[in-house]
Amino acid sequence: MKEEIVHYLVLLLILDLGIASFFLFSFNRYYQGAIVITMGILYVMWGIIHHYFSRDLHPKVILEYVLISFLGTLVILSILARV
Amino acid sequence: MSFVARLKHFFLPQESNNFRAKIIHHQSLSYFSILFLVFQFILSSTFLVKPAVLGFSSQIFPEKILELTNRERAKAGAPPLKLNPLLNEAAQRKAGDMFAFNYWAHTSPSGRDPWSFFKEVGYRYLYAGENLARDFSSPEAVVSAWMASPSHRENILNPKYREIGVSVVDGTLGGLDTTLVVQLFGTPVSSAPLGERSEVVVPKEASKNIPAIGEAGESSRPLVTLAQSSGKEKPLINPFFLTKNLGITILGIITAVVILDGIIIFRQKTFRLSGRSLSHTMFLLGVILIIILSSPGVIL
Repeated sequence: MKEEIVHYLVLLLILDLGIASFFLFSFNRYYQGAIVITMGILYVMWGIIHHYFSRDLHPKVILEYVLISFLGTLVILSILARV
Repeated sequence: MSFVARLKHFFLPQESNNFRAKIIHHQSLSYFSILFLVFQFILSSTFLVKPAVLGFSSQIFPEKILELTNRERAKAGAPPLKLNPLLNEAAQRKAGDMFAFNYWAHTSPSGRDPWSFFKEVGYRYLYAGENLARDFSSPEAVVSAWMASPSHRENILNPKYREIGVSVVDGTLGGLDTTLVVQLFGTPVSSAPLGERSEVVVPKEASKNIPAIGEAGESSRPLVTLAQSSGKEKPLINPFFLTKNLGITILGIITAVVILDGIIIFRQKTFRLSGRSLSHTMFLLGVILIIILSSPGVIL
């Protein structure tokens, strides 16, 4: 349980840093794009590591993280492209 | 399958969907991504075929830009800037030039730098600078974006500047209805101590041909008819807001289903091999927050 909490705190930190950096670099949309892609990749990596330690890592689970991450990243990048 | 049963199949985990709401199955998530890509393609195609349909309108007034700029300068201890009609005219001409020659840059494709507009209106400067912005919906958003960028901020707070010219002009850039904001800073030669050399600043890499003190001169370029921003909302289809709203809708539905799915599975103590609902919720809410707080403006 304690380990789970640490995992989620790490995820919260990744997301917080990603969101803060996104707005910190609001003057450069290329930096913003790079930040969003990095956030998406880190989310998938978090999923893989979390499920590895929880002993339920499976390709189907990885695919789920990839799809969620891809959709989120795609929407933000599309918005940046419309700026 | 009845309508209610079909709804449950899509939104709630049950036996028919292998205890995972259909909407968050791999296949559905892929469909959402494809749907979003197709929408973007249609939007871009519409822009190519009927550019007049798409655009942006705003409520920005030059006086407010001046007021906010001076407010930021006051906070930094810099002297307030005075509005100079010649700089206003130069800013107006710069905006008109960008619309007439369809570019978004400090220097035009033909190599015309910002300082040529100072010369054109007869403003002889010791120091000069330029900030540009487009597609912002409010003056506060424009000045905030400039203040967030170190180089634009430097221009706004530069104590060497004494005067300012601001123009807000509506027009069509790259086939898209746009509102441009041009902010020109200057210190006239008359207010300078003898012997000082002229200096010009643009936020990105400046023009390589930095001119000497600007002089009035005739231009052989065509006169540009300018439309001062009316500051009124126009009924336009805005690609930015369309993309933003569709993104929030799709991700909002998925997030709601993920939360509901997670709660039901937790309460029923069902074991299944899948990603964590809590982590998906955290990630999706983060993405939605970014989308909600995103604004369409660009600075240069």
